[in-house]
Amino acid sequence: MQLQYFLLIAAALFCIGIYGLITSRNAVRVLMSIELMLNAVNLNLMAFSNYLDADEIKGQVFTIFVITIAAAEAAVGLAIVLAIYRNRDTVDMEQFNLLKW
Amino acid sequence: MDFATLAAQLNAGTIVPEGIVIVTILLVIVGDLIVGRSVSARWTPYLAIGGLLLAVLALYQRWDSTSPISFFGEFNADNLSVVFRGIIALSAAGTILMSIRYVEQSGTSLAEFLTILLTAVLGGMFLAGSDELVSVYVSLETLSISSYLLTGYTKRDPRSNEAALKYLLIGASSSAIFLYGASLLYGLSGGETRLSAISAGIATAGLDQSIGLVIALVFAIAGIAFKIAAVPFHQWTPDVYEGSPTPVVAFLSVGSKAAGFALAIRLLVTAFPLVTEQWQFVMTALAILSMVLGNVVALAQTSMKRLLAYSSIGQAGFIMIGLVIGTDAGYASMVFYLMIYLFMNLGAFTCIILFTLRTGTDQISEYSGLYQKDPLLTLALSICLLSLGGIPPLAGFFGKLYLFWAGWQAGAYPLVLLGLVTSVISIYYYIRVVKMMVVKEPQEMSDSVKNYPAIRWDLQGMRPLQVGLVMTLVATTIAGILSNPLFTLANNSVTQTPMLQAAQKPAVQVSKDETVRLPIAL
Amino acid sequence: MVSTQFPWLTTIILLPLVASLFIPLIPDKQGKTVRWYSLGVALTDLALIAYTVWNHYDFQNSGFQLVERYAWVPQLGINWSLAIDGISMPLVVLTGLVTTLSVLAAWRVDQKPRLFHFLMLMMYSAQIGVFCAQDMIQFFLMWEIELVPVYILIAIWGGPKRLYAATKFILYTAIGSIFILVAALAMAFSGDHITFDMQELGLKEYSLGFELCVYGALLIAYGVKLPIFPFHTWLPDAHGEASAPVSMVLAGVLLKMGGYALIRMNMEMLPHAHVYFAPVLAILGIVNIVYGALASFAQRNLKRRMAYSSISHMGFVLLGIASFTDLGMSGAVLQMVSHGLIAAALFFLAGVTYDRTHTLDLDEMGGLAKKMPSVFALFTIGSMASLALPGMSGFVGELAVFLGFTTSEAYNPAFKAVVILLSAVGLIVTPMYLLSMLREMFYGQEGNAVVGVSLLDAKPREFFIAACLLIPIIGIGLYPKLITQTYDVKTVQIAAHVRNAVPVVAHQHLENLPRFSFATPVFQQNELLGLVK
Repeated sequence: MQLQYFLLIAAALFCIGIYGLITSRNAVRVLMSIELMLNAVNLNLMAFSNYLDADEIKGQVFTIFVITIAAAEAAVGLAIVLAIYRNRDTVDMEQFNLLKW
Repeated sequence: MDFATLAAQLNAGTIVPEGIVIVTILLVIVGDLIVGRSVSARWTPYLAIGGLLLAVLALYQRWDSTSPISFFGEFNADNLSVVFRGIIALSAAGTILMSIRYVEQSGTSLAEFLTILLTAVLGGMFLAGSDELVSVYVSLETLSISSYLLTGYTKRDPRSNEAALKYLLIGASSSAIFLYGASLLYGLSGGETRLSAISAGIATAGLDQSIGLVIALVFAIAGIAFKIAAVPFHQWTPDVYEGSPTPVVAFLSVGSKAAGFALAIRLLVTAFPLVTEQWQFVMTALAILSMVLGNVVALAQTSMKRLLAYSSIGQAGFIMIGLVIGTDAGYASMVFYLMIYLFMNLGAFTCIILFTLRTGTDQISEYSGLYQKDPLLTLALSICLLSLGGIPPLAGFFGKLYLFWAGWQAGAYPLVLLGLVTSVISIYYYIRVVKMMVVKEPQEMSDSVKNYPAIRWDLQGMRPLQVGLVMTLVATTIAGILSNPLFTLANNSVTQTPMLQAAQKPAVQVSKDETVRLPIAL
Repeated sequence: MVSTQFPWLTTIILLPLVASLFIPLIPDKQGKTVRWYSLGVALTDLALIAYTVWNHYDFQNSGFQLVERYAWVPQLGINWSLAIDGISMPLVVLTGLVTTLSVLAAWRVDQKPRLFHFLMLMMYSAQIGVFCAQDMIQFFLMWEIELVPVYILIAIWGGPKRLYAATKFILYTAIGSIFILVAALAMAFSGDHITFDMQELGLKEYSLGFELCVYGALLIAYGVKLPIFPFHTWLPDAHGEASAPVSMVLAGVLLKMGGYALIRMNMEMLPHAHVYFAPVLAILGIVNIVYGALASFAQRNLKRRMAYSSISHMGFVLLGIASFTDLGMSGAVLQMVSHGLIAAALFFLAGVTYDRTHTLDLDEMGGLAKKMPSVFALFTIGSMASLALPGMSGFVGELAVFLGFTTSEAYNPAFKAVVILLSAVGLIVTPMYLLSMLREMFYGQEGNAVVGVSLLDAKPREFFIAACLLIPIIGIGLYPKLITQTYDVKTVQIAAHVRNAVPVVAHQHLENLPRFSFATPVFQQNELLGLVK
């Protein structure tokens, strides 16, 4: 296996994430798209770490940090979505127009 | 291996200021748990301010430290980082002064607010000194996630919810993009995560002109530009500023932005010296767009918070002039402007909070005739806004003067001219507010001002607000005229920072054996 | 050089500013104490100015005197640097006099008196600072400081269109002042060392193209203030809408800042470019004189009429500046001082009239002479001074400018003839509109605003203010040396300075000269020798 394949998959995943980010109307789906982008990054890091930095595997360490922080971010994100659902009874992005977008 | 040798090996003394902040956070949260919400609200804010001031004092002691590199290159406590960490800590202290009454009135817990705010400060302070991709990312996210929470802090207010959601979604995606750029950097440099080693690694690999590096640069800039709210990554700013609790906005516009600029300087100068021309070009474009769009759109605003949001975008544009010219004077002028900006913007927000507390609105038209009812507030807000507009002899004038001086010295004439023109535009919308407050006749007074409550400073939480108001007012008035110490501080922070001095050299010297790797030997 | 141990100029500048900071603290409910306080400060400062000029200023010295220099922001090369010389000294005294009198004229301001006097004192400081500053950035700072007070003074205490006028004023001036900063930066960074000191900047060698650009930029900045023809449109609005005390300062002092800066920077620091621009200045001066006079004719509003007359009179300053002669320069300074006094007097009297009739519309007035004989008398004296009646200061100033321009050897006779002829037109129109103004106000049928209203004549206070302005006018008119001798050494020196630049420029572009001989100064080599000596 070559490094390029991993990078290509990661890039594709990242693009899918961005596509989902732009098109999703549901706030939870937007959060999921962001997770997808972060996972693309993780793939990248793992691949680089394996092929270029096999001694110190800094990429793998980095990945652990990314996963942890992604979890924190998702938790906060879902908490905010929950709060907004309680107030507004919807998580549809297009309904959020109190502030001029 | 005992703790002392470990600490010595890590050079842990460099992060004592952050340690103080961490201890403060713990004291606040544990104290709140023990004594209960209503009692703790009386002393936690002062404890937090005391902790922050102590952290600033500790920073002062670490000025000019001989061994700034710590944690095996994770953290670089050079003088530049010391100044930025000081700015961030002070901005939080100012924010706390103005938030006590505001949070009380919104019926939420003060200690939790302080905890989150201090965590954001912690992230910002670490970010200002981070010298490695992992620590950059972790501290950036500490700052960001705390900011999302702060934005949505008044959780029963749908506008605050909405602002938080927007901020979170845009912020998280921009940090994901930034992270993708970081992962590319890691790969291109052949497995380096230290910022200083990255450029050397890339040069060694012969990838200094590769498209991958440019993509990494663009992605990194996208992440930074989001934090400093540069156009076109600014869309979140007005919405978040309008919807968030006002003290949070004050912190976002000063502390968070200062952290963003610290990151910008460090990352761009250390990790991207090979593409200096490209990043300077991109940042120039962002600076031009920010100055023009921020200042022009601000003309049309009717809400005070949105006005300040757009004005802060414009101000970021001015500060970026110092970044793109890449000289000592340029960086020093950035630092100087941020110090000045700290006072005047916090002052402006303190005034807005005070007005909101008394009238419950932040529409610009509601300010009309305020001079009749509250001369002190009118004076303070006028001074802060005029200073933001760069009217001499207020502090903002000297800040802008230094930026333009540095720009002209570096030969960036078009940028300076554009800065001058847009700052005249900005005078127009700042003075519009001053006009509203001062010029209107008693019969033209707005309803809010007509029903203006009696001024009482003895309510709980009002005294700190008053202290903050007077302090920022005095600082904004005299920091310009007596600006010498600040100038010296800003200049020293730049000239005594090895990273920036190395970047001044015409060509970056990279030899193949120079890539130092610190052995991980614990 | 007279050097004093005591920083007189700094004291003079800072006294009103510092004193103004105490205004909010004065216990005062009706605004009665504030005006006494403010008047006291203004008088003290005026006394300080008089004392300093009389005791520490050497009238026969052409150099800078009372020099003070402290490092302010050494990192940027900015100094707190003050000095006065023959150009600035008369204007400092004028500022002191006019501003003090305008504080006295503002005795009846009962709306927000605290704020009013606070701003007046702040403006006092800034104006003197502009005339004394010897550092470009410090000059720019003082120039800008006066902006906001004037804006608020017009916007609160002005006439019905005051907001429009105030906004127009601040936009014009703020945009104009960008050019000062740009020029300052450009000059400071050219050459081998960075400095903002005006004298050092004057000694630097600039390339001609650079000098022309900087000169043009400064001309726009000061042209807005002076004002010069295409940039003048803010002035009638601002002067027309501002209340009488503010108009006094606007017309009496603020316009002079433009003229002063033109002499101080454009002539002293950029003499080579001045050679090229002088014909342009002369033409603009004519346009100002003729256009101002004709436009004034068309005004039905008393204050706007006087505002346009100010534009017309400032044209003479431009002519004097462009003349390259001792006499012309002396005339330009004299014209500034004299117009400062006359315009202040006229705007004050217009305010006095307005207080009684509550209108500025000339159609509404008429037959006031019977009801207010002493106002009528004072107004007549002021108008006579303004239309350059011999024996008044206006006459001396304009005559000196004319003579200076006629005797100038820098222009060819045809150009001079055209200039003199055209400005003579302005001179003829001036009495026409001023006298017709007097006629419409004081003679004839009683106007709508006058019929059936009992009008009080001038009170002692008003009489005193007008007298303080009119007596110097007549004094200068009768014995011009009284004032000219205090600054002549300096104007002679400046005129020689710019004349010296002529041969240099003529030499550089000798082959181009004949083609532009209409407008470009022509010097024969032998003539030059005589002149330069």
